[in-house]
Amino acid sequence: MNRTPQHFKIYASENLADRRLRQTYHSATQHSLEQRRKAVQHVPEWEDLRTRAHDIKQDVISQLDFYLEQLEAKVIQNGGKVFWARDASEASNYVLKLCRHLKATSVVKSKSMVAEEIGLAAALEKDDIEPIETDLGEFIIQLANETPSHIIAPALHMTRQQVGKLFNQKFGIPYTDSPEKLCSFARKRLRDKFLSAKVGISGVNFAIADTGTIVVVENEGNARFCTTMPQVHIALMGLEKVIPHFSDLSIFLTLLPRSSTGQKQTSYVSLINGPRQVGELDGPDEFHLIILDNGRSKILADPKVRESLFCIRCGACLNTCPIYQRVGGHSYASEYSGPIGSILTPLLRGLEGAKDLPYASSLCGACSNICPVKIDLHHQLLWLREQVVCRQQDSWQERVAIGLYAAIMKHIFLYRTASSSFRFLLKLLGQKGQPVRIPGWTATRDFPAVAEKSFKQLWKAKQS
Amino acid sequence: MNASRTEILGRIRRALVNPNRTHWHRDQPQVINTERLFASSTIDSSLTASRFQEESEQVGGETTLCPDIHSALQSIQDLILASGYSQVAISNHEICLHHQLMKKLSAILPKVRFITERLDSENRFARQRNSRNIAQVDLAITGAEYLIADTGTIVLTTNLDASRQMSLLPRAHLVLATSNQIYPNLATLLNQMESTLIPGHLPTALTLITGPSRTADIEKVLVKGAHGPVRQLTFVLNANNPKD
Repeated sequence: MNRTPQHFKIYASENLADRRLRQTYHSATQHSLEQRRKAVQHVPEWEDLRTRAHDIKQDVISQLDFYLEQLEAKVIQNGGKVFWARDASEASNYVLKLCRHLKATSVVKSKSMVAEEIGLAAALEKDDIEPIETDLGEFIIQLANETPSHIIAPALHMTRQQVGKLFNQKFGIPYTDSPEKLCSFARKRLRDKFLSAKVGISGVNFAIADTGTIVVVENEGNARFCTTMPQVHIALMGLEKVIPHFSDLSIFLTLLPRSSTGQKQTSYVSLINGPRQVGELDGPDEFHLIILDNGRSKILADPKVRESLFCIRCGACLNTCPIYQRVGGHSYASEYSGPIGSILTPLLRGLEGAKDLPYASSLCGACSNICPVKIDLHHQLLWLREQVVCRQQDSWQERVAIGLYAAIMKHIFLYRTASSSFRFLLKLLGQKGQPVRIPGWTATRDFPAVAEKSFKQLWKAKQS
Repeated sequence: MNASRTEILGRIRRALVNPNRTHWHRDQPQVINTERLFASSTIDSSLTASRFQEESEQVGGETTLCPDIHSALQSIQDLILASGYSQVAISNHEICLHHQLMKKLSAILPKVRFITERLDSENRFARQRNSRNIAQVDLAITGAEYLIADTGTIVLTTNLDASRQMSLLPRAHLVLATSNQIYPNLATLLNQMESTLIPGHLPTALTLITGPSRTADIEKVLVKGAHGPVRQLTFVLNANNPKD
């Protein structure tokens, strides 16, 4: 079954009805927020860092062509190869070509949102190459044949009992719901795959233009395996991932781990400058960097939403979003969920197929407040709503209602007639003291009770 | 391939026409001193060792501050015996060679098998064999390039004498370092590196390690030792001790 963002409302109401799922999301997001709060409170310069990071991204994005060319030149100088991919299939085909050339039957893969975006695992499978997910969360959801529910924690929606059952069914190991035992099983199972795989694929958190360095941030060590042990390392990056200088990294490596998992630093940060040099004991013989467009240049062309390219994929806006917390990541039917997903999915895949996503927000601004690179997320969502309306993609009922409202508000006579008849109608509908019930509408909210006297009547009484 | 490159760069240039670029410093890259942004840049050098210890232990690392190499060797011996390690790999990092770890530890621990890394040839299979050997050991002892106090991080670089797998494959990884390798924070370190390393050549890989390997992918429960080492140990020698 192919899920599409078009059906956001259906998925969201399904998930809202699932009490256990809501509980899982609630505890996971609250835990992450609390960890983040603790990690941020002892950084007096936090706000300055956010501003500086925003400025750096602003600079990069406004001169993206220059920085990408610089990055390319440096990567080549370091001995790597650079491939530019216009879209998903071009990127996947390049990976397939490299795998075929090496006669690889499997690849080890660390977590990469870009790989999810281009459907790399499916493309590899189609070509009889086994994509082995090595991040524990990705490993679990690959096994369950599901999609990630969170940018940082792909298996956030699952309970330990569900994971235990899954391992029990798929591997025939005795049932256990101990995270330690499940993790240790995955460690053993993947260890040999790491040592024998010919191709390793990783994402890129930051690509430094002036040194050609690829930065990969992680906790498990699986990305270190994927980038160190195989013969060929392929790194996938969206073209917005570039940062100008080596020293800028200190800012981003302070913001990212604290915002995403509440750590001062993640267990591992790998800074990779190309393939193994002659005489070195390990490292891949070849290093390939894929720079992916896949709709990003279209986002760049619209100054109103350009800032969404500043995103460093920390997932903080998901955790803090009252909508995400309740409807969960799968409702968005996209690899990018939450507030940033509600912006990126319509922009990358087209507004037509995802027109409900900009409305998946209370516009409270919590996302903009928490964003470590200060993306004005909720105003971008508002702007996308405007686009939905301007392109006449809202429903006809809504258009009629808004049209009627506009007409009434413009004429004093209509306004008076409408408001007094509305009051009359509501009094008829509702018993005294009882809230008015309107099927559908009042299922999830109360209709405010009608006051005894209208404002106009009160005002008149006061005047006389 | 080339067509995609030209097309993507063309798309970007067309996209950036509106609004017109406000600043353009193609010729004079502007580097702002990031060090000054961080309060932790000013941690006093006399406090960095204890700060490193405190921070690394907070994330599950084990740090020992040693007055000299003899006490460090004693502690390493105690550790190996107490943990029941039977196979230990020692890297060819200069600090290990300088203190003759291989010779001294083999002498005091005759029952433990010590190995080191060697590259016999550029042959891929020889390298794979080497990896499989390292994967068998219980503990790997390496040096480090730098330590970072305010996050309890150790920084390793790849070069001819030090592999990346030594700090990745075994269940326990021990770093021997000296207190003068400690930087207050990442900003001071990267600034220093930017001014010294960039003009020449950066090492193939730089790895920042903060505590043991971990995951919280199942119900946010913290589990140590996901794929990398379960134990991350650091022995910091006092650099002001004239005996070493």
